Amino acid sequence: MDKSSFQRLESLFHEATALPGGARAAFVERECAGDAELRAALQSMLTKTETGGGLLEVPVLEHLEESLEGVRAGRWKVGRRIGEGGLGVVHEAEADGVPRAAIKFLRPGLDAGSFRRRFVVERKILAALDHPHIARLLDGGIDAEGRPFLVMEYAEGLPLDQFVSAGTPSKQARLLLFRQVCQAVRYLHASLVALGDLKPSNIMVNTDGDVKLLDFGAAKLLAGDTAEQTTLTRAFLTPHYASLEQKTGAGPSVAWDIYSLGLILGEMVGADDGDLAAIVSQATREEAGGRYQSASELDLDVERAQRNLPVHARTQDARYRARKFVQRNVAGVAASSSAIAALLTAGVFFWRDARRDQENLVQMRGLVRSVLDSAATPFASTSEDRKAIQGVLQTTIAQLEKQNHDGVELELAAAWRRLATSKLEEGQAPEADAALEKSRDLAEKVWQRRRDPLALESKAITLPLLALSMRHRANASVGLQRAHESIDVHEQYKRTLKRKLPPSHPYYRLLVAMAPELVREGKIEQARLALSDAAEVGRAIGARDLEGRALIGLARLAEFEGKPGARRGYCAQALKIFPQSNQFAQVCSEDTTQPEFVREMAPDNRLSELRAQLDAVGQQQMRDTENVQLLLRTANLHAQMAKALHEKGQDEEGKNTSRQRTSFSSCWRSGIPTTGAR
Amino acid sequence: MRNVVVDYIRAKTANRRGGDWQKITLECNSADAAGALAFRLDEVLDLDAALDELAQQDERKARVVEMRFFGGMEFEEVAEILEVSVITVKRDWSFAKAWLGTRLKP
Repeated sequence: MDKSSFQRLESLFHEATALPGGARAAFVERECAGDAELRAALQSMLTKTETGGGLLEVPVLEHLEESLEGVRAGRWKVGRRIGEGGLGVVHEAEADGVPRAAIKFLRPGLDAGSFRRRFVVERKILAALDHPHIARLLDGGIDAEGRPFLVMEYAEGLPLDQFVSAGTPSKQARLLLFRQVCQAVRYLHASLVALGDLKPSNIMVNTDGDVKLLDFGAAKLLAGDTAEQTTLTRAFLTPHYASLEQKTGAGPSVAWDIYSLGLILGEMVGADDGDLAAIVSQATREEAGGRYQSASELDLDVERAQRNLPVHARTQDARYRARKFVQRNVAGVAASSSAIAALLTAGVFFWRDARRDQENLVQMRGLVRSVLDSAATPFASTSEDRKAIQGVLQTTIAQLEKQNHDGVELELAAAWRRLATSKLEEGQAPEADAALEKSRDLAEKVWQRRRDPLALESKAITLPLLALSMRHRANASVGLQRAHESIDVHEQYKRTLKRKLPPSHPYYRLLVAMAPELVREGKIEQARLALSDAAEVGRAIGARDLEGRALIGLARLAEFEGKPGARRGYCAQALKIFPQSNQFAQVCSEDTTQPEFVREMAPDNRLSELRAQLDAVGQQQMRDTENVQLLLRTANLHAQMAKALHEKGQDEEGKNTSRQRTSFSSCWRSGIPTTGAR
Repeated sequence: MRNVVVDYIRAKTANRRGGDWQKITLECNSADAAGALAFRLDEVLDLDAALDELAQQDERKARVVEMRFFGGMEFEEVAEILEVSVITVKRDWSFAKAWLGTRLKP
């Protein structure tokens, strides 16, 4: 049977089985008319499905299974079956002096060759272990039938997951349980054993809340185990708790177990605790190198979470660190600023003392970088937070400027930039511009002097912020200049460092804003590239606003080039992204849209709605000195809206719209904001 | 896993004289099917061959059968390993069972 007939057979099979039994025969006759081979194949498959049964209904190992109950193994009498793993079955057992133990056999059919060697390894591993949270090995041997067996201490209680869901222990109690598991794993790792298949069902908790690790079937010695055994082990792993590199087959390591521990912790505590969620996420990183390096590190971090101390998993996150920093200095800005000042002074002292020493310079840079990291914006949600951060940054800048700042110019440039971002959040645009200019000048100086690629990067990061900040204000022409500079620098940066700014950077917004300007200058291809780049970046990171604006820009470009089909396509996509009229109006009133096709983009039944939204946007712009430039566009949009409304016979509303337009444009002409009355 | 089981069965059947179909009645855990289940080791060898044929047509379906039948895995586990949805695995499984069923000796 060729591929296409096979596929046809498959889809007919699924269709037929979805039908009630009585309707199937007619379906087969109809669909397979003229194709006897297909009909026969489908018919017999359906018959097979209806009668059921057969070999495949039960997994092969259960076919092969024989009961071991009642068997004697050495001095042990085997009792009822209590569990099974990938490789083995576990029964209760008793012997003189030991009323209850757990005995484990290899699954029938697996008790030969490599599996048997694996079993011997397990026994060897277990024999060497002695820890209160690990089930003890009592005995082992080969029974009269030649089956190898292991006897373990019987662990009373419930598996961890059931224990947690049945008893709903408090968070503290759950963390205590988890830490016992961590300690057992730490002991194992210290004994050069990696568990490989750590999961809640292999962790027993007794009524006293004591934990015992059970199954070592997948365990391996970190030294001296063979590749063959790894392959065998992998075939039986429980997929959910196995880490990525385990599933894909990289070598065994402590990192496997850390990953499983992370998942177990996640299931035990849920996701609503930020610190614990951060711990889980660090323990379960896809790259093993990013996880905790040992079970004790993980254990310590859980302990810190228990005691409400900052956890290391989160201190790696700069925003978190900065927030903690501000919280610690909640008494006031002064405390944090002076602490930083003291730190920096000490650093500068070292640095000045032996400036020839390259190492000291590196240290100084590191110090400044860490201050900047801890002052990372935008994290500050309240204006107090921002003030604290600004205090820190200003102190840093003052200290660095007081010294001869050779060698740390770029750090200083970064400090100015951070300060500017924080000022922008406060709405202090002129201060932000000044800070950004300083940042740019410093980077420019370094670039001119040393051609340091990092200086280029610093410029590439700063310039778009500057251009965007200046764009709508009185110094718009300087803004435009900076915008051109920004695009040139980014091109140079891409060529020199073979990378580009991250998708989250405002640079891509600048590209969208600049596109009409590029078109005006006849740089059509450059504009197209800028817009496509921005649309792609917006789509990639889910920034709908950016993507939508870029699409509107592309639509406008298509309009300019006389390609109505392409224009309509882009418009439709953009409308999908901005389903709300107010978002749409906001975007239209800003500087990427040609008034002429607002009409086309807004569906007729939404004209009034859109007009009302545009009104609101215009009113806002009239009150805002900084954005008065935008009023002209809003006024033009109103003119188009009025035309459209008249065309639709909505004369009254059209007249109102025209009147509104006049008030907007006269406000723009005078350049003086009003209080917004008609 | 599949190779281990098939080799094991091949070794067992090879020891038998004449190669007759030998039925082995095995204990079964579920009460309603108790005693009713009988299967021929040779049937597993037939299945092994049919699986190769299935893999020619659709590699993934053969993998599903290997994991379900030879590995004793749950649908969810198979779905996770193959990185497809559970529904896909269930559809693959029901189709493969019927398809293989028509290729095994009655």
